[in-house]
Amino acid sequence: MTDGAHFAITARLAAIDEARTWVVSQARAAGLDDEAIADLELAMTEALANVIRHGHGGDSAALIDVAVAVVDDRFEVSILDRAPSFVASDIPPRDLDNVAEGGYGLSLIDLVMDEVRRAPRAGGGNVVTLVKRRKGRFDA
Amino acid sequence: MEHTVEQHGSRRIVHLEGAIDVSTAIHLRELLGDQLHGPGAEVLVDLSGVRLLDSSGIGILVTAHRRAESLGARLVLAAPQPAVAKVFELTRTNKLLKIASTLAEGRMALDAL
Repeated sequence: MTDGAHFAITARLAAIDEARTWVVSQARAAGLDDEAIADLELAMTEALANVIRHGHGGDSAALIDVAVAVVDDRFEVSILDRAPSFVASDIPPRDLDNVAEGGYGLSLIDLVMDEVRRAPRAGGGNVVTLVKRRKGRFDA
Repeated sequence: MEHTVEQHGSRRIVHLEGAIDVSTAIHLRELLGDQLHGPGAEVLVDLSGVRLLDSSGIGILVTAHRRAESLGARLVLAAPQPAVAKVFELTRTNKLLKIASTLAEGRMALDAL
């Protein structure tokens, strides 16, 4: 495992773009291809929007940490908040055959990532970890 | 997200650029609402400059599509980059929205609606 890197933003929707730009530079350096990077950008946008809108609920001074790590063949982006506990399984899975206006976010995260982990954060809050496998480099 | 609007008679071509996400979706909603001003409006949305579309952007496009239908207006989306086309497919909104792969095809699709 390489040393992880961190980036902090305040819980503002406009700050999502700053976090995305930082993660993209990290992902490019780690050798992810364009499609994998686009998937990561989408998933982290959805995950950060959930935290900012529903978790911190308008407290724009709250801090959200974004951390990246390369673990074997996996590029991992973790989003760490101090919001009340959030349990994704409390939300019914979306029926994507039944098209409506909103609520695609959580489904999209799981659809574009190779793995998604959700866990409580030590000391309070939540950690969502988005995992993308690097193609090619470790394939036999 | 940046935008420019070209007007050709009753037809408007809206060129979008950048990221359509939760921080810019409200802007897109207002922009499309202004363009879909009434019956007979024809709006072609050029997505070629859009590199990211999230679920809130999808929600705005679905709402705009329904507004166009209820008004008797026409709305066609055109030229999505692969990452954006993928979001339409994953959300299955490609079956609902009118999406053309190029601007030229988008113009033809507007003529045919």
